[in-house]
Amino acid sequence: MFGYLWKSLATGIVTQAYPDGPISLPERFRGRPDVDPGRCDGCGSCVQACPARVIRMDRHADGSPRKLTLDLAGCIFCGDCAVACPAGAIRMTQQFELASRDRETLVMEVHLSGPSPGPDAPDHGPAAGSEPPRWPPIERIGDLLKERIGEFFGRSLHIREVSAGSCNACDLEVQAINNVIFDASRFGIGFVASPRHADMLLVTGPVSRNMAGPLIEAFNATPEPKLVMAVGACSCAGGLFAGSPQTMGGTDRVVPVTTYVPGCPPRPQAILHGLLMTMERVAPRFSKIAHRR
Amino acid sequence: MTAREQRLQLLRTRLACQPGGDRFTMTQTGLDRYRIGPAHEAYRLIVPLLVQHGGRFGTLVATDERARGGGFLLRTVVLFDQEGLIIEVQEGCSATLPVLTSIAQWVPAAHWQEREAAEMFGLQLADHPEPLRHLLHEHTAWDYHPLCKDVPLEQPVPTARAWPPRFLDVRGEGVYEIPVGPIHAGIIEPGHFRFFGLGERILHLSIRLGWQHKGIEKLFEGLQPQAGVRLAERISGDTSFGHALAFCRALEDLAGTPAPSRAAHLRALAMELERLANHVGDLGGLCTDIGFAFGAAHFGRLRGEFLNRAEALTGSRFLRGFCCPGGVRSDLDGPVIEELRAWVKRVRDDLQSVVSRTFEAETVIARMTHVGVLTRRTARAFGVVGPAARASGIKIDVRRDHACAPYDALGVTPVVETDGDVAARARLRHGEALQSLELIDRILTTLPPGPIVTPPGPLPPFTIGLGHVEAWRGEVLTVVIVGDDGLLWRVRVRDPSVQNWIGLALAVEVNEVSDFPLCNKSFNLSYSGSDL
Repeated sequence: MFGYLWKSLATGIVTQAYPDGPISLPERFRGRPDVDPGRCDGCGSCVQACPARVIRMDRHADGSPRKLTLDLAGCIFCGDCAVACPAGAIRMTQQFELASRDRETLVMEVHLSGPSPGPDAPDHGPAAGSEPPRWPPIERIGDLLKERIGEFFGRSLHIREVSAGSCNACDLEVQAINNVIFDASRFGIGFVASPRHADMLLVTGPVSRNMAGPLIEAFNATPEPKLVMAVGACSCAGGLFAGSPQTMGGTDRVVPVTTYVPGCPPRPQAILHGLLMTMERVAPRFSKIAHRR
Repeated sequence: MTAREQRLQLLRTRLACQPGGDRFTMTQTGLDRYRIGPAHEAYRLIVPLLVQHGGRFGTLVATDERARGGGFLLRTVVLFDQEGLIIEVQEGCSATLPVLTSIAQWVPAAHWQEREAAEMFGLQLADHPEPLRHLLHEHTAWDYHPLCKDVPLEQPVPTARAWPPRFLDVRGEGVYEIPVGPIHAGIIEPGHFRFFGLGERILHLSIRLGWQHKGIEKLFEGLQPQAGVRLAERISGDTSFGHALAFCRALEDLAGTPAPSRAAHLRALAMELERLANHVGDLGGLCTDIGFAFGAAHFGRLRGEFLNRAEALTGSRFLRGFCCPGGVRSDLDGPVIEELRAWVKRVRDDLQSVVSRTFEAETVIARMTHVGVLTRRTARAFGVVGPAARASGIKIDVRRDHACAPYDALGVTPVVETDGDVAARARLRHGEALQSLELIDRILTTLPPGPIVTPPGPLPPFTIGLGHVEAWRGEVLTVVIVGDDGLLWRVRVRDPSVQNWIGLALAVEVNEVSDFPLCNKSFNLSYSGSDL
């Protein structure tokens, strides 16, 4: 008995101060890739190198580069594009708080053809390999609900986790936010066993075909307003499995998504940030990036 | 005569005794590799014979050779762990009426893999005790066989009317069923468990998987070999490095160029870090399931230590992006090595003080002892691998049996327990965690200088490359075949979970229903790894 007490007192407090205090990231940590439009010569090596196929190069009729888009929702943060870029225009930053309420925000744009994007830019659509979600983001459904999420769930949020074809890395990171280091329960965040007790469904994985039915059933069993958080590259945009007919290619192809948390897997702080942002306890730290040369 | 030569002589004699035995000649294809066939009925006749004589069913790799002027080819990898031998048995099936004659009645370890091969390639499954589909669920059309070469990747999956799934029919007075899943109460992957109970006792457990099926083996096909590593890392998240390493080893095996010594050491370091993080995390999970908060909190904290080290080393908490064909992507500097060694010592003391306080608690002993017993006989019959096998007294460990650098020089002695219950699996994890810490220390002291990557040379087409790794959950077996265009043509991944799920189903029989979560955690199997 005293042994337990002694060990725990000797260990001290291990819970991180995040999000109130700073965290230290190791030097090799790979966060959001960033593109320097001044150095990019439009060779397209990154498009070839990207295993998730989320980089797209739009070209003018004469073949000169017009715009580079990078869909962070499906990015697996492997850094292969940065290694492949002969001009050194891509580097991996340490930014990991990428949670967004809007899918479109996550599509990074780099305009490469002079100061103005030009009149020939009709395709402002999402990047290669992704179609627009079948449902609009929840805030466009009703501003009323948007205002009241913080009011209802700002102090307490109950979550049902649904793993729908994940590789289990995201599930492990979601589990980790419950441990003593990240301790999500100090924010009133708890995980419940039934979707009927939940305010939010937290979905990981690209939604395999076999899990699409159970996910819809869980969604139907969740009480209104049915918040849904997509965690990880697969859940946000299909990730590496977007091309497989055995997956649906992302959660928003099956149920409407409230918040997207990119990462492969997103680190526990990023998931915590996404949850707190949805609860309106912290401000979003990521806004749409559109670089111009 | 060495043990290996003796075994080979015995096998040659037995093969010659087979009716039509001259068909089954054994040819040497590598230092420890032999091949039998391709010969008619080699699968049905020879694989059970090899298993009877000390072999272990490894993996069944079916390939569609119709575009190359053949039918289907079944390649079976049988492993002899004590002798360090690997024997490949080949059998050709006709293109018009491909039949896979099951050996599951004699070699129970084969039964899931046979079902998988049959549904993926449209083979007729003959003599199988349970000839159901495995990964493709009822809503998938019966004539859809995704791994056939004439099914393009982009083709949408044809659907069929969904029938209710079939389970074993268990009847009797007071017998009831508990359906659990696919969505579980905890934060884990989906799978359906059907318990048949009598009172508090489990009579039988049927496990139905396939919910996580993403068509990974099909996605591999047509990729550049280097790009395959990214996909291999995502077969099972907790074994990211194990799968990436098995895949890279398979490519290096094909090319015949092993990774340089320094890279092999760094890979072993990453492998042991992954093992530590998961074993310690599982000890925490076991404590959570029995409501032992002290252990749950401290093991959870310690797991974080290992993940943070992994991140400092590779940029990813799951060691992603570290392994590449021919070596690794980043190196260790001198000061980091010294710091790491000091950390190993500190963490070891910390772990020991938590483990000693956990394992001496009466509540822990009472909940874990004699619960979920997997007998040695069952484990051997179903080809159970990894810690689950070693906790039942089976002394197998790829790091010793089929050792490659640096494990051959380090000399790993497998940690073995004999009770086969939850407590044995818990003690085993502790033992292996200590062993891994010691190995890390020795790897750091013997880290040789030199390059960290030698790109593999040209890959010969249509021959198998075998990647064979003792990951934390057990042996990962990856078979890679490259086409004549240099792209991946067929990749077969066998996660340890494929063999171990049946072990869990049999271990929980006659236990109480309420002990199932504890038994499940003590195996901690991957759904994604077996569903692919």
